[in-house]
Amino acid sequence: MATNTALKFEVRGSLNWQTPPIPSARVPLVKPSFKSAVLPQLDQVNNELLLSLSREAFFNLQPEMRTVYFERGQTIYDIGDSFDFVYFPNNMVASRLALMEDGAMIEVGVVGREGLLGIAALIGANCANNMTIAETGGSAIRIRTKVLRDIFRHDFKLQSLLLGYYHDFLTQISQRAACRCRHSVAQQLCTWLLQVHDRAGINDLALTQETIANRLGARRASITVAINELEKAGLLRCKRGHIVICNRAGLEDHACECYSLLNYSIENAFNSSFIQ
Amino acid sequence: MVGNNTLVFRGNLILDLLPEAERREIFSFGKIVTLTNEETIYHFGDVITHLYFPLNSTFSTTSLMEDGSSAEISLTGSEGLIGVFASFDNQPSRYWTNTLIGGKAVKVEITALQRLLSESVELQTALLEYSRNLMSQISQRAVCNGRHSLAERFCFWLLLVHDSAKNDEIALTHETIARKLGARRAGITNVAGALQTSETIAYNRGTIKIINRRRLEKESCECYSAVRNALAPEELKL
Repeated sequence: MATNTALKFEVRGSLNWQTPPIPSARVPLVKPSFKSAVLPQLDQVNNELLLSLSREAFFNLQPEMRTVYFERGQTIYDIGDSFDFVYFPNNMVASRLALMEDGAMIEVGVVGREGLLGIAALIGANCANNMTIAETGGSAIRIRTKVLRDIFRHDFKLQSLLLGYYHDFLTQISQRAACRCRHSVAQQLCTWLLQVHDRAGINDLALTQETIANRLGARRASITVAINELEKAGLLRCKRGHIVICNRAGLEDHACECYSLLNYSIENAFNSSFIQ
Repeated sequence: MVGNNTLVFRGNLILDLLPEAERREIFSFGKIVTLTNEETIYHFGDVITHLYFPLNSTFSTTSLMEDGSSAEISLTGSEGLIGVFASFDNQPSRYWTNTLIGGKAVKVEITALQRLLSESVELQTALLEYSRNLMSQISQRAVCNGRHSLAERFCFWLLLVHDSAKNDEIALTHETIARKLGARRAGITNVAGALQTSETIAYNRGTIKIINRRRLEKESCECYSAVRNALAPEELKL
């Protein structure tokens, strides 16, 4: 399987599983509030979308940016919440969940530092129709929705950048829709772990088997079987409530084609040209 | 004929809701085309040069897997615009799009539409609004595929097709349905057989006739009402 060195958001080392955790893990995690929110400097911004802005656009937006921290499992938007803020993750991974009638929460997609949370608000949604939670803790850049929406309406470059990401997110969901029909739980598990690993940038992922089963909409027992297989093959190690990725290339071999297709679209997104 | 009679373009929800000026502009560069059943619109990786506003046709976007199997991602009828994302980011097509049910559509050049898009806030809002609806359909189907039985998904899908076909008799083979639902043909035959026994649908030489729509809604999973609610205007939801 092709390596994904071209993937821009992987440059910071998730491809190499020996890389130590990124420093942000040492930052004390505080619930986001106006008090804890701080104005970020350029070197504290690690979000691909914000970093792809032109220098001028970035510094225009900077006074509106605040760094906030999310704890693992914290709810970012609940169903029906209004979008007061949008968040550009720096090193956290968020997951968007759909609530089913029987109470199950199934993952629609994952968002990390390649994207933003709350994009629906920019294109006219009044309230969240899915739940968004922090899958791993970390920091994000917060901007008031109203401010960003006003800029978004008039700035074509920003529009095309964010809509390009929206298209990628849509591709991620689409692929997952197809994947759930056709691929085995084990393949889906590998694809999902790789997606989370790409975004988290660390090898030690705080995930229980219960969580994974919920996210994938699979039975807990089938996840346990699949994880045991992967552990036996030496691709990952499973500790209490943690999964440590040991052999990324091996996981890529076990993943379904969906993972490489998603990489293709993300890779393309960063190379895409603007409309104007 | 094109551009003179605005009535001929009626039928697409996005176009119908646009202000007169924008609609006239689209009429001036768009043309009506008639498409047959199962006509390919975009292949995987195609550069998108034309977009389609369906009038009475139904389009289906499908993911083709390496092993030759496939599963449908979204279904678009007269409420939408085919290739909406290309108008924002000029990306090549990521999936295979074809017509499920042939009919008329307004074909527009992407460059002409983008020119109008950069001038018209109304068109921008309408397209963004539609892309959000598309997102809810795709999200719902993604979770549905992992969660609900083939029988439920079959009913859900048939309701979507029925809505957009606006016709009780729909030309669909079991083969096509199996490809769209990512299931085996035998599975579809079983499910369709059961629905035929309960007189919900009638099946005759590649044509499905919907007899009892209410029953179909009952047999379908919750996803149908979720998708419908997302499509309805904000006022209707509350």
